[in-house]
Amino acid sequence: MENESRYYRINPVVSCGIEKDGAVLFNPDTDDTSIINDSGHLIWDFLQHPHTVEEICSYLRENYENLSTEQAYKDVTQFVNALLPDFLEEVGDHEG
Amino acid sequence: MKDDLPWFDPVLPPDGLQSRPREVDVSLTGRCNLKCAYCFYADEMAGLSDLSTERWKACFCELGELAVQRVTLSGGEVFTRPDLFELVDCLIDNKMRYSLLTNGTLITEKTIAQFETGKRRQRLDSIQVSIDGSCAGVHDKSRPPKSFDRAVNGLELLKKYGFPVIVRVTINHYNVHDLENIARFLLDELGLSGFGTNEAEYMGSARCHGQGVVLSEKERRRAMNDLVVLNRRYDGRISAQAGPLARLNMFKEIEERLQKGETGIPGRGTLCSCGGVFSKMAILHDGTMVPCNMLPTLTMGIVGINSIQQAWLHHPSINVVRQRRRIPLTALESCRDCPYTGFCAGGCPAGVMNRFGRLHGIDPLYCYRAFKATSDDENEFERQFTETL
Repeated sequence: MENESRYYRINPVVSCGIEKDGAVLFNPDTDDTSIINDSGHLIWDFLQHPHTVEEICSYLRENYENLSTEQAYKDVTQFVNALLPDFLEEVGDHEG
Repeated sequence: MKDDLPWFDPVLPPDGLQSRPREVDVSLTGRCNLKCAYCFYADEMAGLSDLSTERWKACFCELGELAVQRVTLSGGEVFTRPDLFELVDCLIDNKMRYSLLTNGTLITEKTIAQFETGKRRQRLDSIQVSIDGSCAGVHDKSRPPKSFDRAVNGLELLKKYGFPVIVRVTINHYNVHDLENIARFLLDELGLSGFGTNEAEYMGSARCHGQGVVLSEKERRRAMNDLVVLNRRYDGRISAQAGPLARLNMFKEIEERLQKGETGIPGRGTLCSCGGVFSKMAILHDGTMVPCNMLPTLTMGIVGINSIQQAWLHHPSINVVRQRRRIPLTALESCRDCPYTGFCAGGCPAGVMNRFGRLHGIDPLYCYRAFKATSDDENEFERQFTETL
């Protein structure tokens, strides 16, 4: 599967402002903003350290009981692709 | 019949308020190399002392932890602070963008070169330079001698090196007759894409000068007429957040809607003019937090001693400004029988506070009824306005 062996982590330049139902990401270099929901915020915190899509899926499924592997993979892939490259960055194996 | 004001708990933030400000206006210093006749900040500059470098840095770290996105740095004059770029770097390290407000007189090639370090240029939203005349003979009437030449020099340097520069013209008694020349100078000669306008407020230095620098109602109407003609000539390149042009635009909108038979504008009819306090707050140069630097007496605590987030959410001084929008204009004795309340938002709360020492009221300069009633007689408006003080 695409992205399976790649590692992703948060872009260190991005700020994360927590709100009631999620968070606001702000990249001050590009002046871009992205709003993420509660599950997105969970992934964001997880990506303080680099992880693959598979690892993110496993983590999500630990926190959301009824989430299927297939749905988790779909949601995580969509999340990662939406936030690349301004808010997430792709890194080498176990970098950082 | 007195004002009939609704009650609310000033410690509770309004529903839906963000948990932190998105932007903060920071008056970085009370020092200035000029002494302008209408400086709204003059009282604060005289009475308060600058925060140290370390305390500003701690403040910016706290703003960074809150994920504040932008800071506007002003003063006083920001370029008088020798640690300005050290503080800018601290903002950058804390994931923020910034803008600068300046009189432009201290900008040199050396200043420009300092922006080339790190991300200082990349994170810069804008530099606003104040220009109040088309020539020294006009500009220097409200500002010290030789300030025009130095300001224009600074402006031209910024433009030459491609900085995102904007110009603000504060319309006052000394330059109201010079607007056409100012527009020609800024837009034709200097080639700016546009400039902003406001007017001198009856605050700070302007109070000391009495009515000498603040516009009379006759002068305001002259400015309104001149600006509408100029804006047509220059294809809308003159803007205004406040002052004669903003007032004119507001009144024009009301008249257009009245002609269509409308009785109001959605969202108006209450004291709702100020949206700033829902996304923004200010910090004075001694660290005092306030809702806006035009409301310096509504103190919310001091950075480094009181939590910025707690002040933002729960301090009564900012919540009373937010809750103004729950006050219908019909609750005010002065507006109860006005046929235009549906169009009105009450004007800037700082204007109200400045004139009346309270927040529940309207700024008479933004009263369409008063303007319409006195259109043929500026002296009558002046008389009515004075009576309301």
